[in-house]
Amino acid sequence: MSVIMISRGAHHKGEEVAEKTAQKLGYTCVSRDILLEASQQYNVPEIKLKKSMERAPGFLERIGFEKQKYISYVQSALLKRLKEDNVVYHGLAGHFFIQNISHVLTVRIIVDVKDRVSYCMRSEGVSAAKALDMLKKLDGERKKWGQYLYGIDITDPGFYDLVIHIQKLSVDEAADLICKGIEFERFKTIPESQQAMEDLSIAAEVKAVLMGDVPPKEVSAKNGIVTVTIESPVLKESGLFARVEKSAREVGGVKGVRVETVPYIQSVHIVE
Amino acid sequence: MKTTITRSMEKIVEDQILQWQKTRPRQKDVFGEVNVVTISREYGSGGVFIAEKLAKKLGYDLFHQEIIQEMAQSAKISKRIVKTLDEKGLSTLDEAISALINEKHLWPDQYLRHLMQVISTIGKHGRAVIVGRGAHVILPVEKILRVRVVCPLPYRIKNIARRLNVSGAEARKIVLKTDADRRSFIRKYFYIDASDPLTYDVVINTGRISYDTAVESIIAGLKTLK
Repeated sequence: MSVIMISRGAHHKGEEVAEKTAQKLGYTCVSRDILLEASQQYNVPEIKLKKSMERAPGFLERIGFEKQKYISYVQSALLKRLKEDNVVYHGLAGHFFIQNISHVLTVRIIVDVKDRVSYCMRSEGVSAAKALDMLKKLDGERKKWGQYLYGIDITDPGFYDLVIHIQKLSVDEAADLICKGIEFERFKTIPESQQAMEDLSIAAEVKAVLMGDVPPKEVSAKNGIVTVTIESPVLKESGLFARVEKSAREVGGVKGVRVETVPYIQSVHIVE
Repeated sequence: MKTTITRSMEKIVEDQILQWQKTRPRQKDVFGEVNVVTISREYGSGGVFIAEKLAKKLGYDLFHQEIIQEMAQSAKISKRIVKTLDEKGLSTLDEAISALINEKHLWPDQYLRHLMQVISTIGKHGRAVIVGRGAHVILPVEKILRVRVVCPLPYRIKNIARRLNVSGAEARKIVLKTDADRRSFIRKYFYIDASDPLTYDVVINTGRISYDTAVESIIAGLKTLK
């Protein structure tokens, strides 16, 4: 009864490891279907969601909230699936969204560059040089994505519980190792960790709902009580609190809403 | 002081040789071919404690970085260790070292030659946990499980401050310096980056996994490769 998050670069065999692990454990394997679910729930083209999860924001995207909005949709759809438990998820950097949940095992799968190149050559039908070029570009984009949004390097092993190198260890053996890892007591779902996952899911859904109206600075939840922090040029703007509260309360599982504001400009006290 | 160290080192070596002579022929390893675990670690990540627990649990010999270092620095001791191999072992040892030098384009000085001989001999005897000193590069990939133990810097600073009873600032300096020294050792002799996860089979993060779970994971890895 746990969740396994498998991170992988392009052509890293993470997908195969995830599918094998899910098959061995009898878990549900989840990946890009999250995009479809998010696209249906929030009525956004799937391609926009895909791009937002794969590419670092450009100059104009950094100014507006468009990219964050799409990411929040994906985050919300993903957490909804993860709270069902017994899930193996791979790809699209989902491990960013579930920090500090004890029953989640985070794994990164890595493969030697030469193996990735031949894999890419086969699957894309390109030359070795082109394949290497493609991989470098993709890796660069993903690295920038992690750095821009979370200030971390996604290739840093310190960000995962386990990093498995597919070389001597085959895909099947890597899946075995993950299955054995998940048996440890530390990764069993307990009521507290399940509640933490539920809270994350609620907070993500509230954030996704608010993104189209009042993009919040931060949303958190504790036992169903949601705290929404918004940046507002005018403190306690009339109607703003009520609007945020009303939207948040429409999300399932929300037991209470607290709205806090952070002013754009800090107040200045003039001492005479 | 040097004499004392050498004497105690000679005693350690003699004990180890005796151990190899007494137990090796009778012990067949449950893990088959892969019966050596190399542990590379970030300073303060608890890699040494994991190695100790692992060796104890598996009944393997533990070779600390300091022991290997002392063995490799003495021509007499390294020769004594190499002599524990039979004729076949000796001839394949030379072949393996020459192949490694060619493959990695190494320029070994006397110390590196001794280090490669000592580590290769330990590898040939098997049933060992070897900490640091580039053992993961020296030994043949198919015969070992290469483990790297990492941990986020703030945790490591805390661990070292507690272990050495020093301030956080002092611990930070020690951690960064030791990491840099280890990285430069590996880079100097083997031209690789010690922190590159692609040079290991498994990387375990003790910031998120307990030492006991890490030990169990490594054993699971060995069983998987059986």
